[in-house]
Amino acid sequence: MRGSKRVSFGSSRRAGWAFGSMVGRLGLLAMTAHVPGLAAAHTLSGSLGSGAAATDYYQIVCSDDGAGPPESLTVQIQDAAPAAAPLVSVQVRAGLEISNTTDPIDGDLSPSVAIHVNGGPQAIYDVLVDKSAAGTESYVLTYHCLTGPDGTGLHTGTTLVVRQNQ
Amino acid sequence: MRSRAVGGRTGSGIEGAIVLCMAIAWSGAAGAHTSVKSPATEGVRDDNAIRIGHGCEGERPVVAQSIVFPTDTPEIAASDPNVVVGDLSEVVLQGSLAGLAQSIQDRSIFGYQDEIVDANGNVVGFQARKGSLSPKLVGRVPFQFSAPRFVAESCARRLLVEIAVADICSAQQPILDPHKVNLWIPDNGSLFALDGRAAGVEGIGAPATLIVQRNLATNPLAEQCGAGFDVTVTPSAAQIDRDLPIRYYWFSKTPR
Repeated sequence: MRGSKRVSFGSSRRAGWAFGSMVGRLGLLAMTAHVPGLAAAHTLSGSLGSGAAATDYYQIVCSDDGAGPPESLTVQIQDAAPAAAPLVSVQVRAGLEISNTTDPIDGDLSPSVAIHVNGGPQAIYDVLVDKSAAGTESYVLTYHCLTGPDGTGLHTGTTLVVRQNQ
Repeated sequence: MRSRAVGGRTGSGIEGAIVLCMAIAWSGAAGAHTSVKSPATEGVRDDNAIRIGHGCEGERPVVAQSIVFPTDTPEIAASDPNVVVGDLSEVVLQGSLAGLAQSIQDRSIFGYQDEIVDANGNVVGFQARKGSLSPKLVGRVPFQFSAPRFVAESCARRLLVEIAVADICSAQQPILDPHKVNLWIPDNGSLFALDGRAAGVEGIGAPATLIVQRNLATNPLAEQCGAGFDVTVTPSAAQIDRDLPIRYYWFSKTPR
């Protein structure tokens, strides 16, 4: 189904945009305060349907945006409020390397431990978000590509493509 | 042929010849097709732009634009007639161009910008309106592009991404009129191509092309590839007919 997202310059929307931007920045600041060193990250808010097997699938494409060729991807998952029984996890795969992290507490604003996958400059990362049981879940996925191994170096080009949304 | 006055004066003899040559040169530049500003290199994210060369017939300014990338079951062809490419994943690692382009906010021509997204929310094109590009000037519509990477085993050395672009000068019916639109789209059977060609609209068969170059230093061609070949990816007729219209503004229903 075709849809669109809008960028409008109408003066009547400036106040709302400014307020929303401020709230968004405060939210991001609150999140990054729990994860030292995780600056200039990308975030995505998503949700998983009620089925126990519900899985969201993303591909993250790292590129050289001038900061340098990408070497690794760093990912965290936050199991967002409201608190519920299922725990949310994320798996990241590049080639034969795969890693997993789970947010152990639902709805506490603290994300999971960060994981780093070293895909190298040619990698396309498969990222799966899933949960431990039936019931709807909301989450915030944080991800960024870096020029060094194991999540070090400079932030570089990071593009997320949605492959499956359940 | 479009022309541009040179200081409002013409001379005789050599001066007149110089003026004539300059007018012809400027006419050529002003008559340029809508195109893509720069080639891209695999694995590199960079800013680029759609270049608008001129308005519609009768010196009509471009007031809106619709741009569609080939993302939904596109047509794929290799420059080597002996090669058949079944799927884009044989050429680039991502297997699709959806989500790799993003519009850059810019008010130099259009006051309202929008993105076309697929069912998963990935950007597949851009749209803009509430604008006016002076018929005397050329335009730039900026966008960001994360160039895909070539499959190492592929013999493709370039990916030619054909982009369907509608430069709209009027949204009033009848829409398919060379005074109202230029359609820089492939001539592959879409209703826009068929009806547009019948109406004498310019640009059909001449889509804007974004060239993605393989980085032969970091991703060389295998020896058996020889010099390699180009792969062209083109929006399907069905995607053009579905995604090119601007909802509630221009061709919000199918052309026929």
